[in-house]
Amino acid sequence: MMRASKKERVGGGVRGFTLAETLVALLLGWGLSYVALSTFARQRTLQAGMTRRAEALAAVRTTRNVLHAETRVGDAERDGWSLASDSFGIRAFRGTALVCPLAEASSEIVVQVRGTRLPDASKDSVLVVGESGMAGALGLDFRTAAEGGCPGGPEGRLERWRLSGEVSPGAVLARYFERGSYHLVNGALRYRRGAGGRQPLTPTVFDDRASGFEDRDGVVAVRLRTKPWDGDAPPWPGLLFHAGLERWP
Amino acid sequence: MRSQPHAERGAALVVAVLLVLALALLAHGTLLLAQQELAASRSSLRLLQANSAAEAASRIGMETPMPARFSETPVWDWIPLSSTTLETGVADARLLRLSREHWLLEGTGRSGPGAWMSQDNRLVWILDSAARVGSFTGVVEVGRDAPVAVLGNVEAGHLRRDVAPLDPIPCRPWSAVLDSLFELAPLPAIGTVEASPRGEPSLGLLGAAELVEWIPASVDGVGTPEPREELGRCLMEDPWNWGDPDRPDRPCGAHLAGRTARGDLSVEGGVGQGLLVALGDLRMSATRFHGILLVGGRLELQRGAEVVGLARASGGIEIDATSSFVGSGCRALRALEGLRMTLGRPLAVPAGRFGPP
Repeated sequence: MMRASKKERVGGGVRGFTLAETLVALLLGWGLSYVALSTFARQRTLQAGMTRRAEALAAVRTTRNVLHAETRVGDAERDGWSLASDSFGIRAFRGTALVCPLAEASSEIVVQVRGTRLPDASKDSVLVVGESGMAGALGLDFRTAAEGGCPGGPEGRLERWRLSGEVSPGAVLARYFERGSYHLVNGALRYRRGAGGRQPLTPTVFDDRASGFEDRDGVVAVRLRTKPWDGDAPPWPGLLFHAGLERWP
Repeated sequence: MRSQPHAERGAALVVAVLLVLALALLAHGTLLLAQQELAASRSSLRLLQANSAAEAASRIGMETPMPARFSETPVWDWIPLSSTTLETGVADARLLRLSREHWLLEGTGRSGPGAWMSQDNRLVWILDSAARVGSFTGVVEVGRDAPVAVLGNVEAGHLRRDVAPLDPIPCRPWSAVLDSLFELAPLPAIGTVEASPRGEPSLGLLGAAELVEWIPASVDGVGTPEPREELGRCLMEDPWNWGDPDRPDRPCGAHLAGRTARGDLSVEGGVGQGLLVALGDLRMSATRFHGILLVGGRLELQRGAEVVGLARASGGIEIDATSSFVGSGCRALRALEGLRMTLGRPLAVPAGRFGPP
C-alpha cells in the first residue's frame, strides 16, 4: 500500500492558525477600528461645534452690520427711534431724492431718485428737507414718471410725487422711508415692516433672556448673547455697540 | 503536485481607505468653514474701513477750503473737494449745489481690493453773499417790538447803485446781481425780523458762536478805526484797521475788515469798511462805515455818524438828527464778498447727516 501524498496528508492547503495569532489579529483589528471610529466621531463633533460657532458669529456679524447701517449716522428725533427691551423701531430710509425747485407751495414735487430701491407709494413716507433742516414727514400718495423734466434742475430719470401735504419752496431734498422695527425674539434678529410679520435675518442662536436693546442716556445700545450648547458656555459674553447721535466737533 | 496559490481575502484595506476618505472629507469641510469665516470677517473689516473712510471724507470736506470761484457753480452741478489716500482706503469728497446756499457734501470711502464702498452724506449751508443781502427785510432790520428812534436820515433809494459822492466803480461787478435782488422789491428803510435772543446776532445759519469763531479778529471797549499802512502795505492784522473806504487806490482801499466784539462796543470817529459784528450794543459816534453791521443789542448812531450798507440790530436802533444811514446793496455785497474765504465755509445743517442714499 502506497503512503498518502504530502498534500493529501496535509489536506490540500495552509491550514491551522494558532490561538495566539488569532488573538493578535483580533486585537489589532479592534484597535485600528477603535482609533479610526473615535477619530471620525471626534471630527464630526468638532465640525458640528465649528458650524454652530460659525452660525453664531454670522448672526452677531449680521446683527451688527444691519443695525449699524441703519443707525450709523442716525438722529433719534429725525429718524423716529422708539425703543423697547426687545425691539427697536425706526424710520428705515431707503433713498434720497433731489427736489426740483418749487415756485410755490405744492403737494406735487418733481424729484430725481437715488436709493437702495425705488419708492413704494403703498408703504413709504417722505421726509422733506428745507432750508433750515428737516421738515415734517409726509405720506407718499402717488408717483409717476415726470414729463417735461426739471428746468434748471437735476437731469436724468425724474419722477413726479404727490404727497399728503404741501411742500414749501426752498425744499432741497426728500428722503423716503418705510416704518420698520428690528426685534430680538425667538433667538434671532427679525425685521418687521409696518404691521407685517417679523422676518428672521439671522439663524436662531440668540438667548432671548440675555439679548435686547437698551437706552443709555439717549444712546441706543444692543446686547447680544448666544445660546450655550451642549452645556458649554458661549464663546463670547456679548456685544455692545452704540447707535446714536454722531456729534461733530 | 503543486500547492494551491494563496487566495487573499478580506475588506480591511477597503474599510481603511473608506475611513480615511471620510476623514479627509470632514477635514476639508472644516477647512472650508474656516475659510468662509475668514472671508466673512475680512468683508466686515473692509466694510468698517469703508465706513470710516467715508466719515473721514466727509470731515475732510468740511475743513477743506472752498475753491476760488465756488460761488459761481450752477445749481445741480458737482464740484470736487478733496481726494485723500488713507492707510486703509481712499476718501473722496465732493459737493452738489442744491440751491444758492444749500449743498450736499458727499463723502465716499473705498477700502480693500474689492473696493468696498460707503458714503457719508451731509446737508451743508454755505453763505452766499447775494442770498444774504437779499434776505434783509429793510435797510435797517430790528427785532420785532424793539425800540426804533430815528431822528436822522435812513435812505433806501439807492440799493442797486451807489450815487455820488460815493464811488460807483466798486459796484460794477455786481450790477446784475443787485438788479435781480432789488429791482422789483426795493427795501423799506426799517424792517423787522423775529428777534433773536440778545447777544446772538446771526447771518443766515451763521449764529453768534460761528461768527465769533470764524472771524478771529476782535475788538472791544472803545476805539477809533483808521487805515494803517507801512511801506506800501496795509497792516491788516491791526484790529482797529478797518480799511479805507474813501481812498480805494491806497493799500487799505481794498481791505474789507471782518471784526467781532463779544460785548458792547463804542466806536469814536474814524472810518472803516467790511462786516462788524457786536454781540452787545454798538455805538458809533462821528464814524463813517461802509458795509454790514450785525448787532446783538442796540445800534446807536450819534454826532454825525454815517453808515452806508445794511444793518441788523436785534435790540433796536437810535439815530440822532445829525447822523444818517444810507442803504447800499453794493457796499453790503462787497463786504461779504471780501470775506468770502472767511465766511464761505460749509456749515452742517442740524440733523442733516445721512448715509448712502
